Amino acid sequence: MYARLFLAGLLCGALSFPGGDATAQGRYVPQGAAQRHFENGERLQRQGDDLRQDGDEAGALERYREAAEAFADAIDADPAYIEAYGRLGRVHYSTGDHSKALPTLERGLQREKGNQDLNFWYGQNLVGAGKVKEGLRALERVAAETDRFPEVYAVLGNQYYAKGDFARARPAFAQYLRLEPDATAARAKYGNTLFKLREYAKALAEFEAVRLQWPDNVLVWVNIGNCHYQLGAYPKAVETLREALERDPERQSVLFNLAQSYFQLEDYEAAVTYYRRFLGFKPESFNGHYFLGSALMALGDDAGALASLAKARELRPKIVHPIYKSALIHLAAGRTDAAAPFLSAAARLKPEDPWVLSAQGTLARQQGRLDEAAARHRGATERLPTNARLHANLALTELRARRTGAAGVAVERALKLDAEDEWVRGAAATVLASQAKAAAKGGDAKGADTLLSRAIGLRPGDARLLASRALVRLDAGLKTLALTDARAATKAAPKDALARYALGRALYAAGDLEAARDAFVTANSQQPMDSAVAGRGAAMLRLGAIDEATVVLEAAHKAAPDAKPIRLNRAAAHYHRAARRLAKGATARDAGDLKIALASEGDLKPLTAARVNYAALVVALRRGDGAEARQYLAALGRHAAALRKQKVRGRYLTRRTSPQHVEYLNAFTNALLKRYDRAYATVEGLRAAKKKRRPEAKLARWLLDRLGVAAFKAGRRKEAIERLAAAQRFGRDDATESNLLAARYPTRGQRYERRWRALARKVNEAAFNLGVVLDRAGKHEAAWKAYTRYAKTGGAYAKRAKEVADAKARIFGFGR
Amino acid sequence: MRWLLTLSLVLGPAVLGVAHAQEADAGPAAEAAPLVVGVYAPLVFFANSSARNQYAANVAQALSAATGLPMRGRGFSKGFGDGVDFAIVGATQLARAGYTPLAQATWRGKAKRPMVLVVGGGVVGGNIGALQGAKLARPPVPKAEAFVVNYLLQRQVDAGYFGAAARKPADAQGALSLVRLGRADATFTFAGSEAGLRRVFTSRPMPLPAFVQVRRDIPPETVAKVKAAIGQVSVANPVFDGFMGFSARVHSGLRGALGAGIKRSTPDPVVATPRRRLPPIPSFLEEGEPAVMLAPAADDLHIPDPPRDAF
Repeated sequence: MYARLFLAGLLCGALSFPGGDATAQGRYVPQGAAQRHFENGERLQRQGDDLRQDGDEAGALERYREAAEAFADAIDADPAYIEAYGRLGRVHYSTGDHSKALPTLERGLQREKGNQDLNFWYGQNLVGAGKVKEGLRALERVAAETDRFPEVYAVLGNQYYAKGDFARARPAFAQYLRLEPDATAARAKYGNTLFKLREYAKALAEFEAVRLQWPDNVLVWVNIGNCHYQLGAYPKAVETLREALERDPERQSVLFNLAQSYFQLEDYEAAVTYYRRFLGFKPESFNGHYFLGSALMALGDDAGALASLAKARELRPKIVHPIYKSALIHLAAGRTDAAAPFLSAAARLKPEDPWVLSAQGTLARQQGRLDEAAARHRGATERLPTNARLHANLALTELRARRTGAAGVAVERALKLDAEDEWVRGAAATVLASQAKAAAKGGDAKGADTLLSRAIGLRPGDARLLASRALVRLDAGLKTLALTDARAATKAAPKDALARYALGRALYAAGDLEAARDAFVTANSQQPMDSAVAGRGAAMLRLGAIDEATVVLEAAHKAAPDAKPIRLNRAAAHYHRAARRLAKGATARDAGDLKIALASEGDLKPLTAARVNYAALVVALRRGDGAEARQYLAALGRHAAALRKQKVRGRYLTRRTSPQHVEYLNAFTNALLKRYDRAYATVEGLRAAKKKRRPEAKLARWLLDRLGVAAFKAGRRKEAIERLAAAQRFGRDDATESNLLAARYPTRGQRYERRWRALARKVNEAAFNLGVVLDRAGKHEAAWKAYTRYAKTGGAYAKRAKEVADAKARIFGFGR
Repeated sequence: MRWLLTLSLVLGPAVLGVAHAQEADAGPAAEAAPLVVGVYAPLVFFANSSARNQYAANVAQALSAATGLPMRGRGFSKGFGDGVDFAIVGATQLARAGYTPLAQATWRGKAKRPMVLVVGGGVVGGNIGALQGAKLARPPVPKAEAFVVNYLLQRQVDAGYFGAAARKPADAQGALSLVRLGRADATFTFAGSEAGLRRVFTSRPMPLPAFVQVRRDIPPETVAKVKAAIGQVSVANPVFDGFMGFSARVHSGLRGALGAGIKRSTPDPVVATPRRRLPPIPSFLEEGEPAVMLAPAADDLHIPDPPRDAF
């Protein structure tokens, strides 16, 4: 903008041309003397014209003055000789004696007010005498009355042009050129007038017409070049101005305008060359230094640019532009501290300038003061609401401040103002993609699709945007479109990891798991991506490669423990590895697998969580770890309740499973925890506990054995007898029988000695009890033998048996 | 004394001077009475009462030499009354009398020594089983039946397993004499003192006597001196030959046996640990399809970098 203003100011000099001759009109028959004086005057006037044409100005002026005397004599001889008044006015005009002409012409006009010949010369001389306003009024009257004086238009045009009233000069020159189409100088002036009125195309046409007549006139080339420049035809401007420069290599205006044209063509090196040549002739030119600095800035020569701009600032310290641009150089280089004082200085000079405000906003943004940045950018858009970049800049700041909605509003305004500006488009693509991400996060996949489609419109062929759209389309269930996008993305950028990942996702959705797995592998090799590893693991799991998937996901989890998809798929891999071995029995490895799976329990869906907990419960019970089993049982209960509440389809137990199976596991858990009463209370109520061969019945029997023993040890003989007798009803057991005998001892009629003697072969404690029976019967030696035998088994009561046996041996001398 | 103190306050230094003169006139202090060390351990064999008195005197002399305190030894055959400051008492007496034990008698460094059942020449049978009903000269201790059945025979026989001798002996020498004279079939005595009799049973070790403080008002420093010195005394008799620090644990078994009723002991029947294994845990897991997760699309959406700041 500044350049344009400057160019307008530099429009090179108006082409001047001499006024045309007035032509005498009408015929009056004067007095004889008057006629003679008149004819003498005509003769002298012609001589003056010839002399002027020959370049003898002094001779010409002498003749004109003699002619003036002759015409004055004619008027004296015949005051009604109106034509003589006109001739007198003409020769006074030629000699520049305008003041002398005016009284005579006024007398003539008193005699014949409507004489346009007199009016014409009266107007001309008024203008010549400095009474421009009155003169132009007179000439306007002539022009309004007749076309007999084409020159009047030329004079009016020149006068208005000189006054800067180009709007009035324009029709005057146009009329003149209609009447005098070959008036080249007037056409040149007309071209200048049109240029001043910014009608550059029309001006260019007039200058081109002039060039045909004056092909060597350098000013014509300059003006044509300037018209091209103003019309944005910079190559033509350069071409024309270089022609001009050949004709006048030192013409400063040509050098400057040529530099400007190169600048516009972004040929900054050439621009710098011509700015420097220009400055060689005009070293104190503010514009020269300012634009040289601008071109050097564009070339990245920050030091040179800053030096030139410093010179410009020195020349015109009150002009904001070099200060502002110096700030921009620092700002672009990230030297925010250096930029700040320049921007402050610029703001002092132009506090309301939207560009300065915008740059201050950008500075604040770079320094992380986002609210301030947004306020300044917003201020810039309020002061210059029609500039797209200012709105786009506001959008970027709002985006940075995570105000995606406000960023969207700003970027829409920017696009509405100028959707073709590359910078605006780039900023808009960023904002739209961010909005898409927010929409996708909010579950609005369709909205994200629309936003990404618009972003792709702004950056056609952008592989990553295409890949992104493929991903949101997968979320929206548009599998085919997603695959198309992903393939297009991969084609556009075969080595882009995101594109390859999106392809993997699309293939995965399409059920082509092997191809998906390969795509994920490729994506991750192109750029490590947690999502790609998670996808690879998922594909492998679904392909049944559980062990391999476990290895891959385990390694990935170590590298990225917070990546939820990896964590969850790792949990799935470990779960399935353990689940597949569950039929073969429990191992420590299975328990480890399930613990790993349960480490992510919070991330699992209720059905999966129930399955994992059930598997872990089974493994814990098989391993005899009641404490762990209790935890899994509690968790299983929670998840099962959630499944019922949420009416989740799917089961964690097979269809044929007894509905009391979990109660059995509950009883089993309590059994391991030695809470036999509670366990028995549970298992006792199970239907399957009534059938001797069922695990539930076996558990019931197991529990009764222990409850009986516990009651015996606690001295509750009656309860012990009941429990042990009940256990025996599930099937005879030697240990139980021995224990039952012990509980009943010394009830009469039990034939203890015989029964324990028989049992002693299978149940060690029966040998001890045999010793007791014998001891009570006073059969010390037999008792000693029984005790000794038991003591050798190392059973729970071996120490006691040995003490008794030793006492007997010592007292009675057995075994010596 | 209070009177003297009151008087000294009233009369002042002159009276004190008189008192001092009176004390100076008292002459040398009277010789202190010797501490009496008694010996009453009826299970410990002494050939006669003189031997027991001599033993007591020897111990007292040794203690006196070690402590610098005047001491005198006395032997007792039927317990002692007042006038005894310290004593060597048998383990069975210790369990009942409530003396303050200061040291434990030892034999070759051990606090216990087995007792043996000895029989006279006319007795047939070589073990306890063969001696059921035999006349036993009961050891001269309180609760002699409980001592025999519960402690020495470890409750392996019933009360009254042995018959009773015609007299109750006063000490070990008396019991042995009854056997030798044929007035009893057998008796228990500490091993080493059964000379001439046949040993048929050796009991578990029996605590040896203890050295105790009898009189309660002996100055503590005196008790401390004696307690420190007794460990150094090594005057031997047929049963023990020295002393060591006292430990109540040595006597706990004997105390328990004497405190309990006289009854043969047999253990109660015991129960066998149930041997059956827990039943198997079947798995009814519905494994299901792998519940995998893919990263949410939003996580990976690409946001192009904004264009470089333009001005």
